[in-house]
Amino acid sequence: MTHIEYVHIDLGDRSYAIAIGAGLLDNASAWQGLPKAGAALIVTNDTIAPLYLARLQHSLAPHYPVIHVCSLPDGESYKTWDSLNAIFDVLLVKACDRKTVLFALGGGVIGDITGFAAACYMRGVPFVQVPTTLLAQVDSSVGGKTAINHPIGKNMIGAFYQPERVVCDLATLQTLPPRELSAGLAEVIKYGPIADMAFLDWIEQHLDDLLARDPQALAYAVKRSCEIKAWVVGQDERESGIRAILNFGHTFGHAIEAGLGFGVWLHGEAVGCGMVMVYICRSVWVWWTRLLCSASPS
Amino acid sequence: MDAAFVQRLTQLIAKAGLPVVGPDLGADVYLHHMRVDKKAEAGDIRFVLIDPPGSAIVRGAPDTLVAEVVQACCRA
Repeated sequence: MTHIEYVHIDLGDRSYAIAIGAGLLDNASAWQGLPKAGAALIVTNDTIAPLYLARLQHSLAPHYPVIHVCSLPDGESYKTWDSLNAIFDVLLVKACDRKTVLFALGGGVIGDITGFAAACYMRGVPFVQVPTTLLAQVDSSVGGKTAINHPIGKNMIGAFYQPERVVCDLATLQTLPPRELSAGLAEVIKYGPIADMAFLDWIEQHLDDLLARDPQALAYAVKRSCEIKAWVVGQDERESGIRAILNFGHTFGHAIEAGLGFGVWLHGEAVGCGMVMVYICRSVWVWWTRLLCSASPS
Repeated sequence: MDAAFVQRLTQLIAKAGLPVVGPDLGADVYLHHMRVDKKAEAGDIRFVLIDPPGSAIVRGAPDTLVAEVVQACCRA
């Protein structure tokens, strides 16, 4: 049995655990104690389903008599009303009741859209995040931000809605395309400058290990990222203050994503670029410095 | 945030396999999309800035500054 590490998100009656470990898709203890229901719905995409759907179904079978599946096309360009409606269609056609538990098996797009579907269906049903990309494991699956995109802006239609649990199977990172691995590293790197310079030192020292998918390095990167995110979200669940720092790189990043068309650059690629765009030329630093000194606190 | 730290962060991001030069969408397109960002308040575009390394703050910036950033860092 693989070792499971836990990070706890402390939000009163909406508190939950992030379980982190290799092979958790097949680890029975990762799936115990979830809300009971007559049915579960796994939302996934056409890339992830052939890899991991059968294993999740097998692990959930002892807990849910019926397990429905909704598989969406893969990619940011499908984080839309149409995909959201496809989830509602399955829930309603299968006559799912308000105890039905949704499972988001995939990356950030699947997590965000499934969470929003869970927030809306019958005014709220429980859901579980099962992130399979580095970006989703270190950032998007944690903290309860759910949304779809509008053509005019990223994540413009959504809700704060916390999952019952996050289950990060580190072994899924071994099948991630290199471009997606790099995209996830952008959000890992982000935590250094905004909150923990010792972590930035560690990332610099272990970047080659991370790029080589060393299991121990990935395990630490995911755990430390989740700890920092838990610390921030625990103070400011609905982003009235400090939580906004998690958006470092995102102002330029979201503009790049929307400006090029969703899915042309990966979210992590746009965020990575956005973190340094802010500081690109010396004349701009002078401006930023002046702003830092003069602008009113926010 | 000083020049050495910016260089350090840029090198790390590039080494991770990520772009460090933005696509040339033109300043107007950037400004347009940033204005609908959820952090924007009353049309004022807001950025997360590192000050000092290891902590961050959120600040609004005038359009002229944002346009200057875009022109300075996008592919010609």
